[in-house]
Amino acid sequence: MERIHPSSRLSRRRAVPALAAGAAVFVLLNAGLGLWAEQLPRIRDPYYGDKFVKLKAKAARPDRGPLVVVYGSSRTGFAFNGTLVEQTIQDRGGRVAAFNFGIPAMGPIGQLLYFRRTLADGVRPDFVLVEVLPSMFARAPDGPREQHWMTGDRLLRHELGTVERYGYSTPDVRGRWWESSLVPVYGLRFQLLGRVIQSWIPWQYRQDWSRGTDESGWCTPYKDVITADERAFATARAKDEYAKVLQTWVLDDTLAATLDELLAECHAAGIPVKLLRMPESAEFQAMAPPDVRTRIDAFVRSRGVPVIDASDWLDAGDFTDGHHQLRGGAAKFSKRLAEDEILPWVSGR
Amino acid sequence: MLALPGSAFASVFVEAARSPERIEAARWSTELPYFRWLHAQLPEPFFHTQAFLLFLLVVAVAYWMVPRRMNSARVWLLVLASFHFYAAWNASLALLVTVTTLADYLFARLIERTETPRLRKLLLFSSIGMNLGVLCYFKYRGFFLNELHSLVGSFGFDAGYRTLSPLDILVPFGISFYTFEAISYTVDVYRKKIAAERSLPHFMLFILFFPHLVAGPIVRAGDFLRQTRRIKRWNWLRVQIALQLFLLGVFKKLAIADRMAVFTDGAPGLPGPFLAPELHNTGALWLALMAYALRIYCDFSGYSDMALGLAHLFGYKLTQNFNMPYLATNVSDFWRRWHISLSTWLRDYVFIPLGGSRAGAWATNRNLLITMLLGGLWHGANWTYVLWGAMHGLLLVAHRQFRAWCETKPALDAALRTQAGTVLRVLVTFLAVTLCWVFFRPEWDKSITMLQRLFGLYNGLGLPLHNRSLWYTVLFVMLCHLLVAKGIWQKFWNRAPGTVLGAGYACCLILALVLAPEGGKTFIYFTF
Repeated sequence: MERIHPSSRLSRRRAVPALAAGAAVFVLLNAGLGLWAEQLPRIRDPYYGDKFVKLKAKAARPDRGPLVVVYGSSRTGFAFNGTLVEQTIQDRGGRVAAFNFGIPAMGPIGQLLYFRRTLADGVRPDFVLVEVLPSMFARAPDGPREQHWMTGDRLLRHELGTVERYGYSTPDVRGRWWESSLVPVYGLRFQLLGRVIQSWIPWQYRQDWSRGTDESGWCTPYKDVITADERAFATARAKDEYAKVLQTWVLDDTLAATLDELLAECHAAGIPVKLLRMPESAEFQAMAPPDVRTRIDAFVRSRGVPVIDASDWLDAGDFTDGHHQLRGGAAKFSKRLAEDEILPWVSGR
Repeated sequence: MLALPGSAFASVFVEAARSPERIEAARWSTELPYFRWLHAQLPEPFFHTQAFLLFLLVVAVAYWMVPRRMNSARVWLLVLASFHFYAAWNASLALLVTVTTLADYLFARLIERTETPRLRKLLLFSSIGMNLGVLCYFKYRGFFLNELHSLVGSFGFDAGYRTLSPLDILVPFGISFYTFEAISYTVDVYRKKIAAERSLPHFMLFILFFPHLVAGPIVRAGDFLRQTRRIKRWNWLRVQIALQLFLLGVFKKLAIADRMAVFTDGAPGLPGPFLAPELHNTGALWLALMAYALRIYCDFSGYSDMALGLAHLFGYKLTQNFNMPYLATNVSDFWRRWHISLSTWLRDYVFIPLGGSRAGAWATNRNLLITMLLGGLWHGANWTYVLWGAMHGLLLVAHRQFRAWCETKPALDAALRTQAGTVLRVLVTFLAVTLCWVFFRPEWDKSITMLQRLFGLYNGLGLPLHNRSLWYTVLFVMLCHLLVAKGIWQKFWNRAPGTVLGAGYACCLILALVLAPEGGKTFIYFTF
């Protein structure tokens, strides 16, 4: 400040060009990035974009069998090992291409949007499995829980109406979308940083999850075994997160309608669909009182499509925290799902 | 205070900090509808928010639309804008600041008119007493009353009142800053260093000018008041320099200070080493301490840069508050580079009146200690800040003794003045200053735990974020310091075409926005 010489003629002459150039570069960069993000899902929503690239590659394989896609949460993300499913079915003389579209904190709204995007982007699954994550169907005073993760900056413009219809707060979702479109260097900063320097972002805000998955979209669990202390710590955290929701669980009819809309769109597209309840440890299941469990069961079974109930398939030792699986758990689950459910399903087509 | 143990007090403090909505609701329920509306428009007195930038745009356009011959109208406009800026945060306290400002104006006028020395002194002490009284009532009453409560209790008596929690105490933003400005003004008028300001709006602007109102720099009447009389002409260079300073501040705040806050305070669900030192390993604590040193520097100097930029937009030049303090070669040098407006204030109005360095080594050391203790207390009403001040006082005393000793050892003195010796002195000074930051917060028990664990080999959690970004940030800050210290930046600024500078501004803003972590952090010095 002290060393600037405001009186120098050069300084005075270049002030306007400097301000104009600064404004122009800022506006043009943001406008360009905003437009690019609207066209390229890998920028706006890397969770979707990065997985979709892998799905597209799998769908384009000439020798593939019927394409089975599972839409779900992080539970699915860690559990459904598509390569193992394919191998298991191949060992029994069948053929299938399995893809895991499990995304952290994904509920019915995200599943509906991702299914629509998949079709719109030119990939049509032959079979669809839809995970039902009960906590994401719980009625909450401020709208669907999903809106805290599937935020406006991850949505395309034409999707805003859909999420508003299903209970998203309009000012929040539209504000976040406009921010990410007008000033994407700020609104999409975690997406952008995640493409270049992931380690600079706290893990809660990282969106590069889908990049690290294998070619079938499976997020390999970090560990094969964990100590009892680590499991106790992780389970306690899971309880912190879920206990209150599950103890007071009441179905949000709007969110149930979202699931129904997804199922109807699958039927309309001629794609066979089943609901999938993911494995949970007995301790995790016990968080929901018996009456809540009954209500959840009734809700899932009344959707008019077959249900694969894998809730009791695994032991406590197969999980890190009672609902996310270790590698061993993922292998057991994927193998059983392939043998008992997917193979008969695709064979009977 | 001891009736509430240190940790309990700290936890209440933390709870208060995390329950702003309770304080907000209680406060705003009693305000007039106009001020409630104002608060809705400008909820936080932070410079880098959209609401503030809109406020700034409106004020700047209105200001420069007023013809320059109508300087009084411009000054009134800034006074009104400044009042609204403060009232949007707390209307009642904005009125209080205005009333004490009016009183100081009258006191100074009376001091100037009065010939009798006794009466002049009485008026001076009345003004100082009023300012310090308001400061003590809001900032220190909780501290003093709680300490008294515990002292009485330790003798087995009941104090007859309950201890105050931080929820009971609302400290007006910037009270420490504008109180010192007002005191320096009346003292200068009393000493006949400056004449009492005749124009009320000019004087009100000196105290209330919104760029420096809430967190300084502490301006001096002699510097500021003559600027209020100067006619300001619009030119684009003024805007360019203002923008450059503002962007520099935004970058320091968002890209460095708030990012470093992730290393010190952690992220949601994951408390960092400063909030939970007992959970973290020794290496993480040392790295977090370095991150805190960067954070507090970039947080406060970033705010100061923004304040300088804003003032420049209206044609005012505020005191430079920082001059690359972590390049200081000793702690005395550090205080000539860190929060310069406060250190010079303490020098002129505390250290020198105490006798300064004229009365021998012992008296000088005593004066240094007293000055720094008061400086510590100025920052916060807590023993941790007092200890922080005492540590700096002791460092200053130790440096004086060391310097005197070095003068008797010419070889050592020469070695310390070489390039390697200078680097060593900078590193030692940085280490000493950084260790003092451990106590620069209200939580006594956390500070002690952190200090213990820094000097042991403790296991525990690592940093909340990969340390790569910390090291890159440290290298970046060092590089920037080097560029400025070697004059390379200045040469570039003098010669670069406007378009290159403009592209640089855009890149600076873009980088600041891209690197900003989730959830803005408040400025650390706003709480003082």
